[in-house]
Amino acid sequence: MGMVAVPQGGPARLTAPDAVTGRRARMANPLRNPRVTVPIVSLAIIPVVWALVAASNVFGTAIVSPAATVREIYDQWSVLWLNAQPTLVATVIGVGVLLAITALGALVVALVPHITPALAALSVVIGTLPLIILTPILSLVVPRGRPLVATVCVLAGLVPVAAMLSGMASVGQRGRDELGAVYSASRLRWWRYVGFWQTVPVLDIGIRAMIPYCFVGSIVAEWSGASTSFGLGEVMTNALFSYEPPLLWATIFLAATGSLGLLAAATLIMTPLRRRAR
Amino acid sequence: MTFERQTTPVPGTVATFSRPPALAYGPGTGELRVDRVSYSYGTAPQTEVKAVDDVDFTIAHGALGVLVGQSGCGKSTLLRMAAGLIEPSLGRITFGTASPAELRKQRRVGFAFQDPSLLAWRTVRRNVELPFDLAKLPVDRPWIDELLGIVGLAEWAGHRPRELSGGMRQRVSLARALATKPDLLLLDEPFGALDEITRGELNFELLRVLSATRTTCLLVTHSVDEAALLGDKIIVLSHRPCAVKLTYEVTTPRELRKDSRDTVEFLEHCRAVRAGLAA
Repeated sequence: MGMVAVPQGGPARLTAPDAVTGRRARMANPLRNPRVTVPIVSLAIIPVVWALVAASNVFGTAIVSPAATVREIYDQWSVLWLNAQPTLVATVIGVGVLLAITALGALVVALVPHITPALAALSVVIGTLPLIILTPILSLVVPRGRPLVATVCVLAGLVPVAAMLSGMASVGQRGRDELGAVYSASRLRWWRYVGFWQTVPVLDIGIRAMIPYCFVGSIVAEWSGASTSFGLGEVMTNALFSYEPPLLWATIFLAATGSLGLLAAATLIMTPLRRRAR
Repeated sequence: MTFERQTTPVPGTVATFSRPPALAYGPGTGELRVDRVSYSYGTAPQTEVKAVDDVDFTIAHGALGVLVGQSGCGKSTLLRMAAGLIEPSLGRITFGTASPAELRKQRRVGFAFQDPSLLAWRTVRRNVELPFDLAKLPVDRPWIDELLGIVGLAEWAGHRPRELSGGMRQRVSLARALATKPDLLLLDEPFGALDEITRGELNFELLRVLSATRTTCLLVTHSVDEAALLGDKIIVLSHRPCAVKLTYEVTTPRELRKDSRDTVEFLEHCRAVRAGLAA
């Protein structure tokens, strides 16, 4: 009878090359990656639940089925697109302004690291104050229409931007007191070679959180009368008051799709940076 | 007159090693002197905690000094003072005629931390080159190539830290500390998290590199064996506030130490250090 060598010493450990191979396998087959599958499954479940609730007729005619909503979008496309454009443009302007604020904030954070505690406190204050409620007052000083909607959009996006800058301030300085100090690295050099790359995960999450906030901000601004006559928020309000649930659902569906589209665009833009910093 | 120190090349190891001109000290004066140094945390008398108390020792030029003591006794504080990252409350530290802060500003200090703290987005080579980027110095590529060879990572130069084992990461950290050809190398328990075999290999690599580059080094460790194996001078520190309990000179030549681990002489060194710690 032959002898069999039994490996000793407990369970096998995952070595670095194995870990790399596993990651590569997940990248080769995205369906094995929970970061891809979980959002896809979640998005697939929503219309199913929606269809079931609509079919149950519990809420009467207020809940329109997904099929009826898509039909309404097809029928009213020209009206919906005409109104979606100003909302989208205002959101893009707001996002642009917020990105500029982020870039400026990052520079301040890099040059004045002592600002971190103040920034953290400020982010709590900004996060607590519902800045959107300032819309009626702002309409007295900012011209109604695109400028006011974009302003409210910026106010809505300031909450995640403030939190992001606070996070960047603390993460970006990590190690500067040791490694940076040993080589007498200037603040800007540290930021360029180390700090910025350390903040990429915070930047990634912050920007992805900011964009839906901005879109919601634009729509809420339109609800509050910030727009002159066009906008998805305007259509929602009109559909509500004239009791047109299919049109209301069509605008909600479009708003959600638009928000997801902007989120996907932000993810695509951030992906190369995120991959490089990983 | 500018001064250029060219060390004797060791075949197959550090052939191109030459330091840039020293600014604040002359040849052969790279002696680390810790002169009656004390350090306290906190400024108010009620909250003041004394971490280092009247510590006094010297490490000769090119020698390796080892600080041994219990956890939290103040070894790292002492090392940070030697790096010029914090100022002593009393006493002074000099390297040649320069203060640690001056030395640091001249980029003459290398520091390897307990945690290798490598940058995940940089390759091994780019991690070793980081001090040049931070210090705004031109990258010395031949030296980096050679350094990677010395620490046995030449084939891993293009890999990211996540693809390396713990020992390899520590070797990268050591190479990074040596990248700017420092005159003073400070090592804060750099092998603390490693297994016995890797630790042993790195100990001898460190000795080889230091001998070849004639770099003055101060190492912090918990391990008595490591201290007896590496140190030319072992400084045994008391518990907080840390004070020098014993200074022990090891006279065994470095090149013989690899084979000396089971000798009576080595065991004698260990016993003396342990006795110092227990006293």
